[in-house]
Amino acid sequence: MTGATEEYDAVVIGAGFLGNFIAFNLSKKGVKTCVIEKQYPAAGTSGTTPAWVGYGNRRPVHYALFAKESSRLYEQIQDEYGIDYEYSRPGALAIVWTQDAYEQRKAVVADQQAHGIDVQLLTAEQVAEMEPVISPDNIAGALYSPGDAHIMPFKVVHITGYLARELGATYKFYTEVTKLEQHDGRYTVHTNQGVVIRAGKVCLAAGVWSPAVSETLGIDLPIHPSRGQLVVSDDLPATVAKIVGGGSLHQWKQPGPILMGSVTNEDGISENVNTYDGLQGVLRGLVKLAPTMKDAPVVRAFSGIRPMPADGLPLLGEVPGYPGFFVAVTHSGATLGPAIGQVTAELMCGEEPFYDITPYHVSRVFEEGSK
Amino acid sequence: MAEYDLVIVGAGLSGLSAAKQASELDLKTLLVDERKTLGGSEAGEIGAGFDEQAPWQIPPVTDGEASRKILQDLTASPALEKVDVRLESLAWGIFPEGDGFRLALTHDGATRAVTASAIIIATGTYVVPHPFQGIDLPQVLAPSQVDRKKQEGVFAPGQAAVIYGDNEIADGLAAILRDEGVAIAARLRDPGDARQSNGTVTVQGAVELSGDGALETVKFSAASGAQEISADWLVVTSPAAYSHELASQAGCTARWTGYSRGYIPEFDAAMGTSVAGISVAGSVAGARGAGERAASGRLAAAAIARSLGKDVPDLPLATAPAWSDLIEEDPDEPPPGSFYQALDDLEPDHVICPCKDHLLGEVMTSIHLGCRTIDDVKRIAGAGMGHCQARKCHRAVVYLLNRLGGVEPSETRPMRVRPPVRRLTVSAMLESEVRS
Repeated sequence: MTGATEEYDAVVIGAGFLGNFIAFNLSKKGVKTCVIEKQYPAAGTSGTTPAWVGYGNRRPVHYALFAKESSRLYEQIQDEYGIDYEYSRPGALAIVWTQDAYEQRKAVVADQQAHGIDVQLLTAEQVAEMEPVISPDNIAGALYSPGDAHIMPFKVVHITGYLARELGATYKFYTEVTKLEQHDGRYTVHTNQGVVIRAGKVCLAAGVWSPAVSETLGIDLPIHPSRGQLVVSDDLPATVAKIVGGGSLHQWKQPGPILMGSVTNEDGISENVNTYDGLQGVLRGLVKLAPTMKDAPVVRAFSGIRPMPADGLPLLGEVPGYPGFFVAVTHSGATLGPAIGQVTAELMCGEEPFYDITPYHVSRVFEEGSK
Repeated sequence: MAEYDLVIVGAGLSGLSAAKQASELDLKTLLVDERKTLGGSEAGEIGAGFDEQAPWQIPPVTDGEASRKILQDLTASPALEKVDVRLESLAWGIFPEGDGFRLALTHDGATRAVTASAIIIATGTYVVPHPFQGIDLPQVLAPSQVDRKKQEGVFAPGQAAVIYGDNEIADGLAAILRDEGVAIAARLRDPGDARQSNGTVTVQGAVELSGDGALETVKFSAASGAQEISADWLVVTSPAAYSHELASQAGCTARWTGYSRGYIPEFDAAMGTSVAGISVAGSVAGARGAGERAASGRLAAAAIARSLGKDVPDLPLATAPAWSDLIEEDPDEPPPGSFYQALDDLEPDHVICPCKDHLLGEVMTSIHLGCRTIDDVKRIAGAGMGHCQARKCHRAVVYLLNRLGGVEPSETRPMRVRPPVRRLTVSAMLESEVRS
């Protein structure tokens, strides 16, 4: 199928957390930007996150600080544009289940604290005192991060995309990239809707679907899918104030629904479905943590597929040998969206990034012996 | 090895027919239903549908003597004695497992799963309210409320009722009201109703209700002009929506059909869906009338028996529903039925998602922003995030997607319904015993 050719300064592939924050930042700089989304924003991974902007539990230290910067940017963008991402900072408890893990965490926490990251290691009793719904019997303690925040994922993705559009970005929904070509220092983006788009800069922010797109340029991105499963309750009275675990218990408004069940990470699985054993595991873990939750009404389960870079850290920046071709892929788009959006737009404009992303630069996966 | 060759979900006419056929063909069969008795809606027991609390449930429905006779014959059949039966068991999730499936059943407050090589989904239909101004008046009744009101003794001679919808459910409700001495002031039908009985008036556009806190009159337009009828009660029987949730979970494709104005799992000439091993039967597959429902169950079971290696020389094809009959569109009928034109006149603050109180205006905005599917609208406008998983609002959303977004209903996908099919407690979803 052939159609019109459209010219832009930059093309962003994917309209999830990352794609939208990148497009927003590019548009703010006056870059003529087109965002191509194969479905609709938040139809993929961004619509299935546990709504947790966390940094206290991240390692190494530079990664926690990067996440902290991103959390700060959420607030800054809200204030600057008078918008509401439902950002709040209830703090988070990352449950530590075994005494061995608890002992190991002590040194890590000391290191985080020495670098100005506000985290504390709490005993099981302290956790139960803080959140009475949690039973101290089956846990060793928790890592408490008072600065961890909540956002409403659908709102963030939607409003950020809307801001980008207001600032001049063009969005193409239900348009899937079928092939990328590079010639004369520019990129040609072919789509399933016939339209062909040309631009000097391309940023691939398509999450788990990124390798399939980069492959058409001959680029092999080491990203694998990882499935998580959760259940969500009906509206309940105030039950839990802090974000507990990766969605083990997260009630962002009281009264309101609770995201429940520890996120199971099933590496290598790309089928976005709930499984019987997965749900049983999620529910058993929940009742072990908070026995009274056995009476909570569940309205639905859901699953999501996260993109996991091989070493767990984001893949950012320009791909070596492909000038003008950038990637932005991470498993934590909800937390890192604002920071990665800003850094990536700065890199695409040839500016010095506001945060040193050397540890996350995509070039590391193409270095000799890295694979 | 799966525990059963076949599990049939739903013990109504089609499910029972399938069970009898399967037993006669030597399939190890389990029949499950959430009700206390066999017979589904024919047996007169109100089913909870998708919502155990709200009144918009599966009503008691009967096709009259013909269906009662079929039901009696089925339940008396010796072949059924070889079928395992689990009543008061809700099938809340379906999961692929090996070459077959695992079906999660909750019973008595805990879950026990069974495995099966094949599954027949015979889960019938449910009723959802049409949107119109005044639907919240206490005298506007869903089908299942009529029996409740009768128990409360609020019906009395001298009262008048208007009944909306031309179908078997409406017939039964009219009879109940007449028995209580209530006069039937009018029988209305939606242009999209499959039936057009003598004496019914076809409504054009939206119904309007007047009354300050209590229903006084029902106003509508018909071919003969505008009419206004005094009434104490308005009973609304919407066209049935289809309980395709388990099929949806299993990944069976479903399509909006003009015939049903709802999503029906696509099925082949032997009632098989797009997922090998899963078949549909009965009204969830668009079957109408007792004979067609029973026939679809027999056909589905016979075809599964054949696929599992049983000797089945001839499939009982003749009277089962055919997919090709379901997908004919009426070009004059705005999807999903003219009743939804009422949305054109409602204020943006009209609640379209009763579970989460999301508004018409929010849905309209999301479509203007580019949403093109029910799931898009759910994520952006929030409608459908509640426990009914868009079963109450999806027809209105389909109408608005068509009206505002130019999306043909036949091009839309049904909402993705996740397990559990109905609100359940954590403990009801937890397995009661360790699997062997």
